Amino acid sequence: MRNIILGLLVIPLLAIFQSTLLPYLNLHGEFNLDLVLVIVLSWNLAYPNSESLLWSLLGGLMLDSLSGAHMGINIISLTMASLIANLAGSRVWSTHIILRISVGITGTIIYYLVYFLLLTITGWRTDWANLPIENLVSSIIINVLVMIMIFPSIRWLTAKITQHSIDI
Amino acid sequence: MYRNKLQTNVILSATIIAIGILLLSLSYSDSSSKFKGVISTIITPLQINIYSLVEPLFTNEPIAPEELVNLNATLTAEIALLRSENIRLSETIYERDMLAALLNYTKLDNVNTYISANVIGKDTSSFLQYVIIDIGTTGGVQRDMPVVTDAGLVGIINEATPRASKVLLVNSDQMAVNVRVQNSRADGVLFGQASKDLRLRYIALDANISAGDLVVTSGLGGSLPANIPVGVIASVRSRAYDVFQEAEVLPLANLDKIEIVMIITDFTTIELKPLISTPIPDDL
Repeated sequence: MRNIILGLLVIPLLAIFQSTLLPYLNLHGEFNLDLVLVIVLSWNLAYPNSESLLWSLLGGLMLDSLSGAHMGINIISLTMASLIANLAGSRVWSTHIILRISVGITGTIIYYLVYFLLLTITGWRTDWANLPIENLVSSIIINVLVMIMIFPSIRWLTAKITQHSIDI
Repeated sequence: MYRNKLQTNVILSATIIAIGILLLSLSYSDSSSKFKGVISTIITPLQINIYSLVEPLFTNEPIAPEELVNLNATLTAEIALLRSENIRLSETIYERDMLAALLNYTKLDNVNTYISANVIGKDTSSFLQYVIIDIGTTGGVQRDMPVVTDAGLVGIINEATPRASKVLLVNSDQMAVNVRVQNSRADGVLFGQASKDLRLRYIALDANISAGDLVVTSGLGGSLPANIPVGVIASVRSRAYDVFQEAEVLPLANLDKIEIVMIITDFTTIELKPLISTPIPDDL
């Protein structure tokens, strides 16, 4: 329950930061940090519980409200990416740095892929041949780097607020 | 145990995705915008407060006194030049009014009413060109109203909630604006690109356009008022075997760093659908 309460407090703030603060830190449009995506992926990797998946619902809801795209697009994209992190986090070696990098890369790619697919399905003009690949690649790199940096803090936080159960 | 947990997580994910699909299907109806409006009403005050906290971090540094003196001299010279031009233009207007009266021709001056608004956020996806402003339907803003800055056209209102609105920027790949090249009077359509650039298309091959020409809204289609500056032509691509010319256009407004915008509130879009004749069925 504390997991959900924390999500309710943190996710709206993160979404507002992503909308208000991050565009001004983005130098010449060279990279984009998807703060909500990074935090939701890290949280699901650190604490692979069903409650953590609700962070993606909340995060998607907030991102959709602050975006011009149709409601629901971020919810679906973020949930699909989170499920990967959640499944990976259930493994014994979930804290290994290689896994964190893999989840960061896979999660971001899945998120963007589903996002652009849904934009196309809902009638947005998406030029697949001219997608800003360089921008996407730099976004993946920055997302992974931030994920590696913040993961120890997220892990510490999950340990503090959750009671670990032992799965047999 | 692990399998049960896995099953629960997959079922929960599927449920969340189903909620997403439901919201997506509702997004074509009013209920979705009402839902967005409710969330926006809750988070907009928070967003305004956070923006007011972080805004000073990104404002420009104060200008040095020497620079101010130079700037003052330049502006004084510019004022003198503009005054003389103003007098000349007043004479021209007087002459025009007189001639119009003679021809029994009346045309109202296009004086718009504006509301100003602060930009409090941008789209959470960097691939969509929207900004969020701190004024909504309670302030008189409605969907499709044109949004400008002192430099020129910024975009149109795409979504309006009671306290905030979303502006679809002119360089969005969802945007197409009917424009006119001021010097040559050539009409065309200005499209935003995924790369955030502007491309002018459907310019007749015989139209004489060149780099530096000003591009303004033409008013054709009735979705925007005429004569709002949009950008300047950066380069022209004209090939003999093409049907039309194309040009790259640089927006006059700095769309990456918009802080304050103005919304033209007294312009209503003209619905052209009733004027488009429906084809007569063959069996009649």
